[in-house]
Formats: sequence, structure tokens, C-alpha cells
Amino acid sequence: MIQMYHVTKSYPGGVEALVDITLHVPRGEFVFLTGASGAGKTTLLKLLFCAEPPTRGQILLNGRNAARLRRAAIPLLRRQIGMVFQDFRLLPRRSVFENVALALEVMGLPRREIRRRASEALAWVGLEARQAQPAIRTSGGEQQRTAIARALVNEPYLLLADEPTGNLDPDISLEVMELFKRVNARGTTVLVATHNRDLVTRYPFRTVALEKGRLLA
Amino acid sequence: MRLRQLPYLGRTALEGFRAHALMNLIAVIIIALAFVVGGGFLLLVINVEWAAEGWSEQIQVTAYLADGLSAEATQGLRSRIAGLPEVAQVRYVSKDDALKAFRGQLGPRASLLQGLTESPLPASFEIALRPMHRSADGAERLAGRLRDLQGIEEVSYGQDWVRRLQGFLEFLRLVGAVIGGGLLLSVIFIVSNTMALTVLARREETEILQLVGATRSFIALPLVFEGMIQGLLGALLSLGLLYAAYELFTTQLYLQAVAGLRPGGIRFLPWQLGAAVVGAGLLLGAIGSLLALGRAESVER
Ligand SMILES: Nc1ncnc2c1ncn2[C@@H]1O[C@H](COP(=O)(O)OP(=O)(O)OP(=O)(O)O)[C@@H](O)[C@H]1O
Ligand SMILES: [Mg+2]
Repeated sequence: MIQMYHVTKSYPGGVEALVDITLHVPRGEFVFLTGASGAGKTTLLKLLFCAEPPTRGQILLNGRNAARLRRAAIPLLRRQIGMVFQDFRLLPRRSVFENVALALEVMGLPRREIRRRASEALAWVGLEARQAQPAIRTSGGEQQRTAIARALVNEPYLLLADEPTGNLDPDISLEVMELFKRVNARGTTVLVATHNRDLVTRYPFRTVALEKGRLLA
Repeated sequence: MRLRQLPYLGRTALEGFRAHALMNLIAVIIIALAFVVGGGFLLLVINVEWAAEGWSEQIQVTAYLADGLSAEATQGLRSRIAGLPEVAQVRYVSKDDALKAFRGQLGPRASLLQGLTESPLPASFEIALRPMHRSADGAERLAGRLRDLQGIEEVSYGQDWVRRLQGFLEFLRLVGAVIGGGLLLSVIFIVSNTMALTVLARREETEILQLVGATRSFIALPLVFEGMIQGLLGALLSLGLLYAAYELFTTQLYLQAVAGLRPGGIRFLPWQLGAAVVGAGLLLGAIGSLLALGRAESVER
């Protein structure tokens, strides 16, 4: 599923955010990515999401080389990867429904199909009742669930989450984690970056730790 | 990009237009003023051309006869001229007729001509052209044929003013091209600058769109549409303003008198030119938006 070989990422200015990372995540696995602030968690997710190119090394996603994609191919790759952030990244004035539908809108699906699949995803995260509400007028937990519904509405093979519970209460954080577990149970590979120790110890999933850009064995 | 995505993209463009309504309206007004100047010039050119056409219709050719031509020779010449394809009518003006006409023109100063026993003026044929030949070209062609005829001394058809008018029209067109070019550039400039602000205001939205796998065209099209809305509204507003000015001009006859025109002597832009103005608005709006997008992208790199 995810195969990284000797991946190094230096940002302009000389910061080595990732150094010689070799990592394999098989299909259907649930993995925590941990490390102190500045360890390189976000950078690693960005490479997987093709938001940044690696400086050296190879990245294979589903067997395809993500390091050497044409620019026009990147949107197509992203439609097969769900992405969830600490700050939700929703369109604040658009409704919960429209935010979820956006991921289908960009694919040019027929209106009816968009309606059906967005409703399904909203039901799946338990937000049917809130779907007409502008995103900005929902709670943090609801916003994150909207973002998760948007990430899943395309039925991606991979879900990447960067500090998804960073802005949420502990109770709500657990709800979000339960959603991720259910996503994983459907067969989606899940990679969650977090420095929340409680979460990591609470679940029996594999943990990959970064320190100053290097993998800890 | 698929056709069924258009409603979504159009809606996003309209939302964007409304989100910066004031800035967009100001841009529309400035664009409209630019088009008023350009369109006004266009109106001027087509009306001068139209008037020139009207004058050309009154064109007539005068062929002056050699002195001492016999009556038979004159008669023969006349029938040959009447047989030419361009000619509608031929009127003979004798030497005495010419002198009489000249006296009439001099009016009270006709006494200057006292004492003339014989007319010093040549006899001539005044030739009216058939309608399809009533143009500078037609007159030129006929004049060429007449000069080849025996017994004709000189031919005139107001060459000078025809040439001067044509020169003036050329000049107007040149000035129009320069002004037009400048206006096109300034419209692109206005659109691209207002759109640059929109691009900036949309950065977060753009990031989110990229996140969910939107293609570049899906992200760019609402902005292009927004620029086209600006250009379209600006062009339509300018046509409205020009038409109002035209109406005022045609209904207030004294204005025409001031401008030295006969009543009904001006016309509005034909629909093809109106459509061209609207098309130019749409095109320039799109170009301005694309420039703004290009600039934003090159900054991000
Ligand atoms: N765009 C960038 N340009 C330059 N340096 C960057 C950039 N993004 C990140 N860095 C640097 O790369 C290193 C890793 O950053 P990264 O954001 O991946 O860490 P992180 O593990 O996600 O930290 P946090 O837990 O605080 O989110 C840091 O030293 C950071 O300053
Ligand atoms: Mg981070």
C-alpha cells in the first residue's frame, strides 16, 4: 500500500524535515505516526499526499510512484486518498452537505449520484440532521465529522489524518477515533499523525515514531 | 472539466461576484467608461463613413470640351458618353450657360465680368452616374474613359475632396486603432487587478479544492467566469450609455444643428458591432482573470 524507500525531504533553507525514511504500511493497516513537534509528521503526510515532492527517495502508493507524478495527475491521486486535518479545512459558509458534496462535485459526478453518496457519508458519521447547517455554525466535533465524511465520500483506499483531535475535547476525540476504527474495519488503510499519548496507548495499533526527521526503530 | 459541472462553477462565480460586490461594481463602471470612449469613437467613425457615402451619392463628373468643337462633333461625343456603362444622364452646358451660371454665382459682383463679349469658360457635359457606380471608384473609372475620348480637354469630379475625405477616414481609423488598443489593455489591467484581489481572498478555498482533488481548470473557471461577468456587465452598461446619448442626440434636434448635421443624419452601432463590443467584454474579462491567476501562481512558486 504505502512503500517509502530512503526518502529524504529538505525544505528550502536547509531544514532536513525527513532523513532516509524507509517505511512499509500494508493494505488495511491502522498506523499511528508520533513524534514531538517539528519531528516531521506533517511533512511525511504531505509527501504521501503529493503536496510536496521528496528531495530524494521513492514513494509508492498502490504500486504507483508518487514522487514522479505529472502535475495533472495529482488531483486524480488525491481523489483516492482521504485527508483530515486539525483545523478541519471546511468552506465555512457552505452547508455541511455542500462541504461533503464538494469532493464529488470536483469529479463531475451526476447530481443524483452526488446527492446519494453525500447523504450516505453524512449518515455514516451521524450528521444527517445537521446537513443543511452552514459548517461555521456547527461544533468542532461536528466540523471534524463533516471533514471525515468528505474524506470518505470517495471511498478512498487510504485515509491520512494530521493531528485530527488536536482541537477537540477528549470525549469528542474518542468519538473521532471510533470513526477512524470503523473506516479501518471497512478495509481502508489509516495513518493518523498525533502527539496525543493517551490515544496512542489506548489503541493496540502499530506506532511509527519520528524524531528529528528520523524513524525510531 | 465536464459540462455538468458548469452549474456549480457558474454559481461559485456569482457568489464570488456578490462577495466583492462593491469592488466588482467599480470595476464594471470603469470598464463601461472605457468602452464608452471606444464605442463613442466607433460611432463617430461609422457616422463619418455613412455621411461620406451620402456625399458620394451626389458625385457627378464634369467633362470640359475642347474649344471650337463643331455641333456635330459635340452631338457625337454626347451620344458616345451616354452609351458608357456608368452613365445615367448627360447634360450639355454651353459656353454661354457656363458664363451665366458663373454670373449667378458672383451675384452683386457680377459687374466684374462686364465687357466680356465672348464667354471665356469652356463648354462641358455634366454627367450623372448610375447608382451602382456612385462612388469615388466609379467616378475615377468613368473619368479615365472620358479622358481617352477625342474632344475632351479635362475631366473633374471633385478628386480633391474625395481624396481628402478618404485620408481623413484613414486617419480616424488609425486613431481609433490606437485608442482602441490602449482601451483594451486598460480593461485587461482593471480586470486582472480586481481579480488578483479575488484570487487572494479565495486562497483558503483554493487550498480546500486542491485537497479534495479539484483540477486546475475546476479551480480557475469560477474566476474566469467572474472576470467575464465584469466584462459583460461593463460592455452592456457602455452600450446602454451610448444608446442614451444617441437618443438624446437624435431627439434634441438643436444638438444636431450645433453639430452641423441634417436631421436623422446619425445612426447607432449596427447590431454586429454591438455584439462585437459584448464579445470583447467577455474576452477581455477572461484574459484579465487568467493573467491574475497566472501571477498568483508564479508568486506561490
Ligand atoms: N514549508 C516549510 N518550509 C521550511 N521548513 C519547514 C516547512 N514545513 C516544515 N518545515 C520544517 O520541517 C520540520 C518538520 O516540520 P513538520 O511540520 O513536518 O513537523 P510536525 O512533526 O508536523 O510538527 P507538529 O507536531 O508541530 O505539527 C520542522 O523543523 C519545520 O520547521
Ligand atoms: Mg504537524
